[in-house]
Amino acid sequence: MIKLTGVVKRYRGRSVTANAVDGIDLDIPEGKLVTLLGPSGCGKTTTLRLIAGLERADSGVIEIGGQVVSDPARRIYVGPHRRPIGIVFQSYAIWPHMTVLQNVMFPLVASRPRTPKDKARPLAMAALDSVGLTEFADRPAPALSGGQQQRVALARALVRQPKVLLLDEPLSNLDKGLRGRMRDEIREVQQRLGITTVFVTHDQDEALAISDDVVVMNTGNVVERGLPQAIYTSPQDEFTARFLGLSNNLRGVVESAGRNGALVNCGKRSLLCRGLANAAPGDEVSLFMRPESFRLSRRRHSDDAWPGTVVFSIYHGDCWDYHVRVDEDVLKVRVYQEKIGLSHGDAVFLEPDADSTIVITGDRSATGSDQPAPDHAEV
Amino acid sequence: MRRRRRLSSVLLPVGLAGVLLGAAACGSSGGDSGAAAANSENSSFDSMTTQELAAQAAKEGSLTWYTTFADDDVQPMVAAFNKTYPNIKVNALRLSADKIPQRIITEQRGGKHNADVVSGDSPQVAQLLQAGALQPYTPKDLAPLPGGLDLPEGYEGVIYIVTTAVGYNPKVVKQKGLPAPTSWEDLTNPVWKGQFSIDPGAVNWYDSLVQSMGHDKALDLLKRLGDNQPRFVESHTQALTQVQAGEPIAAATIYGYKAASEKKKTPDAVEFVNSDPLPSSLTLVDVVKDAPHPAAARLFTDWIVSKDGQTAVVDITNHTSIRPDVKNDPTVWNEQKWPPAWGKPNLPSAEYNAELAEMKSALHAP
Amino acid sequence: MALLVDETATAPAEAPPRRRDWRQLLDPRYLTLAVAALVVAYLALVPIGTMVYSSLRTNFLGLGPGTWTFRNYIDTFTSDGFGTLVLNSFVYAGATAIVCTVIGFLLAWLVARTNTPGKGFARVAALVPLIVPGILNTVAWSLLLSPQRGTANAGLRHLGLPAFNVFSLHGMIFVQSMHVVPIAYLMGVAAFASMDSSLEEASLASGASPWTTFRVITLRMARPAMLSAGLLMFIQTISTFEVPQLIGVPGRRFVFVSRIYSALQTFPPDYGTVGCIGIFVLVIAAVGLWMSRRMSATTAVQTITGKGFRATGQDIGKWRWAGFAFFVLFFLVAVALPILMLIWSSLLPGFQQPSAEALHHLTFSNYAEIFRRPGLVNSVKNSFITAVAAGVIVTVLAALVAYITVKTRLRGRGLLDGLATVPIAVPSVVMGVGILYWYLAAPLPFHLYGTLAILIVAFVTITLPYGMRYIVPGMAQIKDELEEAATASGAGWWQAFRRIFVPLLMPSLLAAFLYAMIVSFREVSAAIFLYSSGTEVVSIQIFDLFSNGSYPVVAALGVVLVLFLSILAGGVRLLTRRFGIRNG
Repeated sequence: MIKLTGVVKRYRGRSVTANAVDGIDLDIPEGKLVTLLGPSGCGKTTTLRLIAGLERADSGVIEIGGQVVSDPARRIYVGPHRRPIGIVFQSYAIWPHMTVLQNVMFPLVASRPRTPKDKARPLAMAALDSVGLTEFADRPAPALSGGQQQRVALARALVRQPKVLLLDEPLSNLDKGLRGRMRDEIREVQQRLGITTVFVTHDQDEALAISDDVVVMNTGNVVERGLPQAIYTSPQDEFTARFLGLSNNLRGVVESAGRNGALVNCGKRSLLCRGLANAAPGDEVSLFMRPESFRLSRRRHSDDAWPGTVVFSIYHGDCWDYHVRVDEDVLKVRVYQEKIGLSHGDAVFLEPDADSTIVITGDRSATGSDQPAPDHAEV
Repeated sequence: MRRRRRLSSVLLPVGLAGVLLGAAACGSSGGDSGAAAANSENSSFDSMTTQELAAQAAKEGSLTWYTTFADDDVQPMVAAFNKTYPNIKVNALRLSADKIPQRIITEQRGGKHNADVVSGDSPQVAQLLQAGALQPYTPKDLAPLPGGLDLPEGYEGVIYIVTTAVGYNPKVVKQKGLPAPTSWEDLTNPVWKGQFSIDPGAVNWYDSLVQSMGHDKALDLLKRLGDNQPRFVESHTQALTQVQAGEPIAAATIYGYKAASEKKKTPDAVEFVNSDPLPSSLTLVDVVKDAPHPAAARLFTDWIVSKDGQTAVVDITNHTSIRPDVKNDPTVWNEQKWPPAWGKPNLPSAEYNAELAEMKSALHAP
Repeated sequence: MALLVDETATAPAEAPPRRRDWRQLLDPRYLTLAVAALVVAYLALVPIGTMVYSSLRTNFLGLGPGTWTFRNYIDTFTSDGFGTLVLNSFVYAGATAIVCTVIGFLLAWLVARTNTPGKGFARVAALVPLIVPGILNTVAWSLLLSPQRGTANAGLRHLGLPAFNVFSLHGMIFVQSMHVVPIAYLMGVAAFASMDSSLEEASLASGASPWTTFRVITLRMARPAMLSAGLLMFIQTISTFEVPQLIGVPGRRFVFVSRIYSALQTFPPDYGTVGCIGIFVLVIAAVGLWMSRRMSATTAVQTITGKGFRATGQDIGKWRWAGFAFFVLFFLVAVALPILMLIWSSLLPGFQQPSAEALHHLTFSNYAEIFRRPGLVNSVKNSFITAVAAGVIVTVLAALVAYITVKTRLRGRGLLDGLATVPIAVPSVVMGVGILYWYLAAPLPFHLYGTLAILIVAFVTITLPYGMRYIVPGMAQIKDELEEAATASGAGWWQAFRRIFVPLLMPSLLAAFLYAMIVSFREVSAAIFLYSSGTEVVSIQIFDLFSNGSYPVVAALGVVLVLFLSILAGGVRLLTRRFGIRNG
């Protein structure tokens, strides 16, 4: 449904000119919800705005529904008001001088071809109904809470039944409880209507929860793309691995490789990594281990287990997070269904899971950025 | 409660200002300068010789002169004075005529005495005189007033004469096929409708007309001028600039000396005509009451009405002197050709206000 | 990072009980604000108090004792032609307000919110009419558009268009509008820079064309600011003198100010009438301000939160060339024509309308003459000192008062805001007299009369209302949390103010400073009562030359002044680019 080919958008700064979007190719199939995920400044919002037509690309082709909407080389540019889109903004952008109903009716009565008011009203009411706000129809828009305003924005974006729905970090202004509910609502509406949707966020939980496809971006480029599970459990790029999930990261060297997997030596320990196929001894690799992929016990169950000491513990209700010191590293370990917790100073043994360890060889990291894995990605 | 305290924090300054204003109002209504002892001092200064005055003035060191002299002319005048008396610094404050009485009187009421000497148009200086803001002093080399004019003793210093003439743009007048105007009577002709400017506040001119042709005739002339839709202009510079620009083509109330100097610059665009009689008005110079530098004030006044001073005045400003021993610009002043029609130098302010009101109503001015 | 605290919101901590003792008074925040409030109240009340007082007394500043009376009011309001005066004044001021607000906001929108080319040039051009001294601007227009021989009219006739007689009510409206557009422009820029552009983007994405978006969203959002600006322009126009005196009087269209001037010509001056008319204008202004405040209270305020706020440009496609053409047209008419006329006049020994023949007479002698004038350097110095001082004081005071008005809940802050704004309604003539009277008559411990300080006081009083208009909207945009975050980080109030508000407010502060500085340079009708030997300022020199000197010389001085002020304004802009956040 949406296709970007070699799209470049330059950013003209005061002292530096950089590419906000650096020649990306993107293909968004019909009816799918694709998330653009990445840290701030990675170009995801710019990409969304280019699709919307709120920014003009410097080069490259953008197509929506088979129609070319932007191609600077051929001087084609279709303005946002003529693209079959609906947008939900981070700040909701609800017009304060209108009522809720007027807000939702606006796309019908203000666009060409104009829908006469008597036809527009029931359509708008239906849209409000789909987000559960019919009784607020005649309230002045600013009188609603944040979550309600966001729903109005959603109704407004969908009232014209556009081909494409664009959402620019729509949940970041909501409080945590509401966020989850709105997220689910958006997904539910999207699936029900089968509308092609592009969702921009920096929050990996949102991305993983509702996407059909996740596109990881960094510094104006697409780093990696795939199903949420794939991205999460077997990222191909070091950046993706760092960005998603609270990972433990160790560097190591391949000792030997065989049919069972490769033996990787990191410092004082070795571990077997099944997922590594074409490794040669001497290769430098980056290992990523999810906190939940360790087996933690108080007794040594196997010779490969790593001895360590608990230095920190956090109780989450459904699980425990431990920071375990193993030699010079501090590893984060998550344990579910543990009845009695461990505390500072307790000795434990860790067994990493050979199957779920993510291994990325040194030259596979697409961006080579030294970004530390954030706990929660920053705004 | 916090609220009340904050409220008082805002009401307090308001109340304070109100109290101060009221106090000032009460305090100043009786503002007098209470310098009775100065009277004896004054007579001692009055009797000093020039050398004694000069010595005393040098001790005083400076002098403040409130004047209507054009800014360009003030510095050369001061320089001329300093040639003879180098030790006295002259601080000149340039004011327009109608601001002078206000300024001096308000200062005096406030107990601030800044001005030593004042010079300006006679109606305004007369207002100061009548308000008791001036110090009577007879300068040493005083020229006699022209015949028929009367000023109280001690207030007879004349710094120059101002004449009012009709100006016009000869080139454009010819283009329009109009006859060159020779008098105000000419300007009442319907062909001049809307084609000339006039200053509706030129009381000194109107007064001259009243004195020379009688009140009723003067008023009638003004009414007929007013019916001819003149354009109102208060600045003499602007009036002449408009003549030079050619719209309106004529100006009814310009000063002769100014027209003469502009004519030198743009002879094709400016011409002026002196009428018979020629409305003339004195510009007076006086010592201010409670002058902070009494000796310097008298010294300066003496100098400026003396032959030296008057020669400087004519040379620098092109104004006209009443002294018979000083040569004036013959295009501006010639007593035989254009006998002067004098306005009353000591015009009572009630009469001034009445004449001003008459002018305005006759000309349909605001 | 999740720590040992659970993630649900904590209950707000109990505020510690307030100690009501005198130590609270020494809290820097309280002290600073109290001083600012005091100063502003004092500055505003002096001229207003004088006006009230003089309107109720006979013989104010006259020769004999005065008495309390209502006669002044009766005489003034029942005088001949007062009704026409009122009508003319309202039409003149109202039409000017509408015209200059429309043009100013259109310029502001094009500059602040669209991708029209030539913005840098437009930003400068929009402010230049403000720099040209009022008298010279008006005279230049009267020479350009005098009905028979005006140069511009000759041009119009050449193009087959009818001539425009500037000496008429519409002439007054035209000249004054061109002159005050910069003020409306500055307010427009302040308003647009703080509008969240997602509102317009949402409209575009909803299918509304750029034109519909502009009409239905942008204009509607800007409406409170436009009304407020229009009101301000109305009040200001009704109390300034140059156009009514130099164009209205010749055109026989008389307004309030004309009556004030004629009242000052009698001896003693009729301050009773002056005071009455001043009070009349003040009442109108107060009513207008109250109405405008009520109207803006009902619309939502947009906020800079730091999350999702965008003030980017809108792409208007082909129309940006129309926008550019508008810039050029505005520049030509409002800026180039009068300045070119000034330059032309300054190069001739005696004024002549432009013609091939006159080209032979061009000379620089007028410039040489100005530079030879001994008082010039001193008066430039005085102007500079007073203008910069006034600029700084106004900016500081306005920022503090804006803080009180917007960010605190102190009672009486509405009154303070009103006091800071109301001097707009006082005609400058009245302002000058009021200040003169007060500083001569009041038993104050300090003597300001005869010093530059008294001029600074006048300039600050006159320009403070405008400073407020530029800073208050900016202050309102800043969310409380930004300040609270600073205080919670341990910054004292003064630190927070300096490090948080000042950088965020930089565009508004700059606008206020520049405005105060430029207007102080130009201000003449109040200054005329307050200058003394040694404290003359350039505007007085100009007025002097204008009344009594030669026009080409005063034109030359005007050109030099415009140049000087443009450089100064440019310099200030460059300097403050280094501080504060960039905007638009």
